Amino acid sequence: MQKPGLITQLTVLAGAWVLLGGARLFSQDSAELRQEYFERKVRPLLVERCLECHSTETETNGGLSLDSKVGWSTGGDSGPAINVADWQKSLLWIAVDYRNLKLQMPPDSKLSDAEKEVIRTWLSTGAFDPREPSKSATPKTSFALSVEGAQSHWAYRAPMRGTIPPLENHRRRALDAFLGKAQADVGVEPSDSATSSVLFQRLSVDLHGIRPVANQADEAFVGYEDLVDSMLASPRFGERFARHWMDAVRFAESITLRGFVLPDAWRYRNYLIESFNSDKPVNQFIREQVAGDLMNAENLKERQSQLVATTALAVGDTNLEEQDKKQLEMDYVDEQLELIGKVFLAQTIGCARCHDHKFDPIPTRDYYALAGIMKSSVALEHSNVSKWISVPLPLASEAESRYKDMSARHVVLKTRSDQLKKQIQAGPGVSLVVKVEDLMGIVVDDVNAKKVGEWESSTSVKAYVGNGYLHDKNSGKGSKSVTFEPSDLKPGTYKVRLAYNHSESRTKSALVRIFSADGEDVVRVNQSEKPVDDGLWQTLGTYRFEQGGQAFVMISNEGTKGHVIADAVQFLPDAPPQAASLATESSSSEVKALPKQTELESLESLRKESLAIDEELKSLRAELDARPMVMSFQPSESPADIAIHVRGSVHQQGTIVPRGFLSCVSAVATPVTIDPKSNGRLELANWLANDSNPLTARVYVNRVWSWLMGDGLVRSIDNFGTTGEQPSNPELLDWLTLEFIQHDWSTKWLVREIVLSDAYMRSSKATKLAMELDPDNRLFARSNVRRLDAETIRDTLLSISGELDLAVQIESTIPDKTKEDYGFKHVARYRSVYGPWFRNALPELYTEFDGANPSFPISKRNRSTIAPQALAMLNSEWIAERAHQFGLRLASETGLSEEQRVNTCFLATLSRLPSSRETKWAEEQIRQARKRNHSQATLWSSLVHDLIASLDFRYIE
Amino acid sequence: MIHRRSFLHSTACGFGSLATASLLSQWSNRSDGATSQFAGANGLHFPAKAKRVIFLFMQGGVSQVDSFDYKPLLASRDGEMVGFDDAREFANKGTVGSQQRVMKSPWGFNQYGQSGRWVSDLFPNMAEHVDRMAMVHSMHTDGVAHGPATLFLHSGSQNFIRPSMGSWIQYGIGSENENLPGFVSISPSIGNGGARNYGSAFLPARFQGTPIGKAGNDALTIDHLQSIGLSSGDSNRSRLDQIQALNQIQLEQRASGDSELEAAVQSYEMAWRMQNAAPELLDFSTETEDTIKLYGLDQKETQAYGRKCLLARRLCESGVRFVQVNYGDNSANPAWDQHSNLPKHAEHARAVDQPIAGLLTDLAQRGLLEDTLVWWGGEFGRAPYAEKNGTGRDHNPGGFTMWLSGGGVQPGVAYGRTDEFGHLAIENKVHMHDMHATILHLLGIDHEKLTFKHAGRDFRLTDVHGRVVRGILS
Repeated sequence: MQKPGLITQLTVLAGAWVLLGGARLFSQDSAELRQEYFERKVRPLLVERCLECHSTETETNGGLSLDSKVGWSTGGDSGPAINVADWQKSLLWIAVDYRNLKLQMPPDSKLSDAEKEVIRTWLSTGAFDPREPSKSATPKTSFALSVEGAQSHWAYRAPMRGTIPPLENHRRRALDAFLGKAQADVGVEPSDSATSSVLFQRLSVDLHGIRPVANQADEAFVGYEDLVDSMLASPRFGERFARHWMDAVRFAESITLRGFVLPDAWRYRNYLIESFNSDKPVNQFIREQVAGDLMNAENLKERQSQLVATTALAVGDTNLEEQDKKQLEMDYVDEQLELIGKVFLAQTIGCARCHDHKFDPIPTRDYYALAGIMKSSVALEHSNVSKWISVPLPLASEAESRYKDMSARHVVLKTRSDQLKKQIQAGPGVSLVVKVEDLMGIVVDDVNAKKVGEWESSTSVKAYVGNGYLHDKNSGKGSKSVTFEPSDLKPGTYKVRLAYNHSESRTKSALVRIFSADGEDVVRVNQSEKPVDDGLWQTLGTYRFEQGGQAFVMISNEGTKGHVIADAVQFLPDAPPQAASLATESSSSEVKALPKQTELESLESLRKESLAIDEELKSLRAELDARPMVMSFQPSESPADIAIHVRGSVHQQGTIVPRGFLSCVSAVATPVTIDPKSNGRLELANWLANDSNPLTARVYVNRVWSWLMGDGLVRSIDNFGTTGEQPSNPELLDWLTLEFIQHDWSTKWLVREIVLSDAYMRSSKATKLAMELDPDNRLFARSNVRRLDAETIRDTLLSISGELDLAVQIESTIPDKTKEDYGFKHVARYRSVYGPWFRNALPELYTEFDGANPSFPISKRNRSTIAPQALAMLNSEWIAERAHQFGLRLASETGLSEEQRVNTCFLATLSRLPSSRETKWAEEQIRQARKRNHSQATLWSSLVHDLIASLDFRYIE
Repeated sequence: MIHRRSFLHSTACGFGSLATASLLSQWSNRSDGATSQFAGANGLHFPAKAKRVIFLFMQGGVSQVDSFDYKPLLASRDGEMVGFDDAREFANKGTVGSQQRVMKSPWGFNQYGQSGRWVSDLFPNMAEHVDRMAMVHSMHTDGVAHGPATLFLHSGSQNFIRPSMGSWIQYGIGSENENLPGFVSISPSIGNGGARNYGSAFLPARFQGTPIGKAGNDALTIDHLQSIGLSSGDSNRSRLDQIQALNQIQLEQRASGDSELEAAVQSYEMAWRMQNAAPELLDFSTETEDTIKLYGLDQKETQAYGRKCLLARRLCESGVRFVQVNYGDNSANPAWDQHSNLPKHAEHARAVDQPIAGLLTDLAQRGLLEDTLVWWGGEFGRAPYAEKNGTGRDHNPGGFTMWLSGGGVQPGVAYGRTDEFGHLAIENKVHMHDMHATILHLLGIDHEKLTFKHAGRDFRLTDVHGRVVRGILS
């Protein structure tokens, strides 16, 4: 017990307001003393070490200000900084104590012991603090739209059916009426219709993702509407739209980290293609991707399809090597929420992870309401590098029961196998452990041997000498050895024996060198076979050793396969023992206390059984492993609401919030409640894909519009929040959205509606006035110039060279046994959509031509025009090879005139005939090539290469 | 002595004229909406002390207590079991104070230079330059494993979707030579984030790093720069001429005045210039024998990294902003990652020591060190105790050493301190965010103001963190 008040008395006695160095303050001390202590010690310390960041006049980091009592008792995001009642629990104390690795203050270096003592004294004496909050400090005002006020922003309001403006003669569709009105309001004249050749190219690229081949254009152009319908019915349509969706959901079949392959992700690719081809209603499509695993199915095919759909949420590029698994789980959830927010809702939900959204009506509690839903399913299996969840693909009942039987058999066998292994390991008794002192002659045990390289000590298999034996871990072949050198070997002749225990996994040729007076002898010992003497000893030979001469045995793992065992070496005098020093109680045997032969034999039969079972287990495992799997979720045993993570930190939890959705949207949408026992994902899916959700359908309609029209009605495709753009034609967007919902969320209806419009068919030429009034073409009075994307370039080039394999790939395109994607070579000639889509090995030309980065959701690809693209066009061997293949084909054609050949080159690459100037240009190239004596193949391949490099190949009017 | 400025104007290597010619052209057409906030030599937010950066990346994590952070206590208490707060154990289990065996350094330490800095026998050549370096002994970072920590080092984040530092810098202040990419990574690894470590993520693609060569292969080549088909330079130009003639016809046929199409035509001219510039860049035959020796190109062990360092200098001379010279490989346990065999550090040290020392000497001789910032280090350091009681050291993000040298850096200074064992930074701690902030500062960029809007948010290299480390500024 401290003696209270001693210092008080002393200082009072001294008659001065001076606190001596090392002075103690006690809670019983007077207010004056405590104030004095505060002023002299605490205030300067706070100013010097804390207030730079934690003051209302500076940064108020973490929302915490330490410049007044009000400041620290209100606290920051993590709560009050000082707990006066229980000062050691104060966050301030924990922070300066520097023992919690996640909460250390000041961040640049810890307080000195003396400084810490000041804080301790201050806190433990009631944290006296006379400071008032600064007058100048004004509470921060939020710029964010409130949840209550959300209706003032267009995107959170339900779509309204406006009146369709009057349809004039040349405007056949409502869509054009809406656009026409907006154009007329500004005074922009729409451009004329594009030529049929251009339209055919456009449709082909937009709906199929490939340039039309040769001169189908003229033949096929019977009726535009018929053409559209036949294109929508082709399987190429699903391939094209699936690739668009893959961008949006950052689809890939490997993760960046260590290039791990996701072997089952391809099923989702097929799901997408099938969904678009069969025109699956988009509300169902969305529901399935969010909660397909939880939905009821009418039949097996539907069940499979629904489960596969959830792969969407599982292919994120998360850093599974994160060692803090709590952190990893929240990062994983965050990635999923970011995806759901961007793809379906065009909301930047991720912004609310650490604080209320700065602009949009998304409070942090909404984020954790959603996070609670995602966290209530198991998405990862933890390990050093955690792993995604694979679940069995549901199969027909016959196959299911076959796998069930196999699993059951596997369990039975595994149990028996473990049992056997235990028995074998235990051995017939402790007698299998031979003590060194029980042995005759000079024995060098492994503990006294000299080891080079890493050897592992083990007692797993008996028999052995001493406390165990060494094995080489079956690694570092050629670099490890163990040398047994007796310390006191009298000159003479000895029988030298090596102790080891055998098993299948042992080497068949352990290298043993015996160094004796007669030099070096080499013996190879088969350690997979039982040693001859008592099942423990193998005689190496009889050797002579001299006084002071070399006398040692070295076992090395050089040139061995399988484990090398080094246990002990025994030197047995060859001549009868002369002295009592070698005498033992046993004269009949060199070793005593070994198990009886019968015991060893029964052990042998156990080993045999174990081997047979392991064999069967192995083949069962292989069959079970071959079972089709799906990347999805596992149900969590305890779905639960989670707490708000203060400032996003997994180590600072605040209030628990009930699972739920975005409150700003729920205000207008049909209410959906979450059953406490359910994880809430199905409810989330239903809430998302609800007709009354003001965002989901609008976002999808705008997305499809952008795929076909070159840009969205809302140009910020994945941000409909307040920082995104306004729709250029809100009436049209709402009308299309409501019609889309009425047409059962049909993608094909939507596509048809758009591509049959006048707006779609316009020329890309703009009048001067249009360029002035609407330079960005927000009113769609002209067509946007299309640029072939990376996949279209690749597929078209393969088609030109005659190599494209148009077969629909119903299986994985990843070659067997591909475990990591590094250095993967794309040699297959399928359409690009079939991948494989590897994050560390993207296909040819993909990066150069602005392919989507598959690590995060992309709603709009970059559109860069950079020198590396020109370099690729000029120098890529891959492109040159395609041109070369074309040249060979054209050269081998007979009976074609030169003009016909030139036309073929143009039709193949630019999907049209050459203009007269281009014909002249081609003739000049041919003349030059002839002058240089180029072969026909070279001539045509270089001509076609030039056409591929030309503007009209990559840019469609 | 050749002065840099005279070099730039000399015709021996064509970059002088190219740099001037570049004023007429652009590295790219900026049609994607994002403009580089190009501010040239004056800095974006305040005067720049450095105009370019060479980052010598020691992949895998060099042990600080075996190189620059001398701790005699390790020798005197070698073999003792002591409680340490191991970062991996904390991340995995939340435990602190696990018992670990203190392990002394197998290398001796000596004092060097006027500043008397301690350097181990691993780096005898770099040691001669200590008076040029600012040692930061109190580094700490996020991420216990290679993947996360490597990404953090490059992008200030442990996930895969942030732009690399070089991209941020190029976005911030552009390139000095529009004929060359502003950001180059020499022999990057495909492991531990791979291309993400020099990727532009959500920044426009033109800001991504251009790889020259790749880890595991010492050839220094750039994709698609080698022209194929027709062989001689003249006929290549004639091939380009014929493509451009066709492009011109098509441009006129459209008569749309679309700037993107014009930019595409321009991109061919740019490509042509790059194609001519690059081989000269990679051709070391103009270097003197002294220079070749300086970088260790004459020795087997140092040749590979020496070539990369020499290329870095040439790139800097040509106006490239950010050159990363990687020493690593493609494995999950890259180069310096000596978990079980610490003595192997010597092999790696041998490979980089002479080339790095040579680079510093060369930069100084040419007057380039005045405005070039050289940055050395790995994604984290190593623990002062034996991993699993063996002969190696585990990762240590809690305390390690990096050094800076050159433009704007106070030479010969040692900043910050780790504890007595060299384990955790305890004094003047410098987080990786702080290092990023400091480097941007030296380039004239305020790290809080260099932002890019993505997904509704303004992103920064330093997220919401980072403080400029004033104590190492000159």
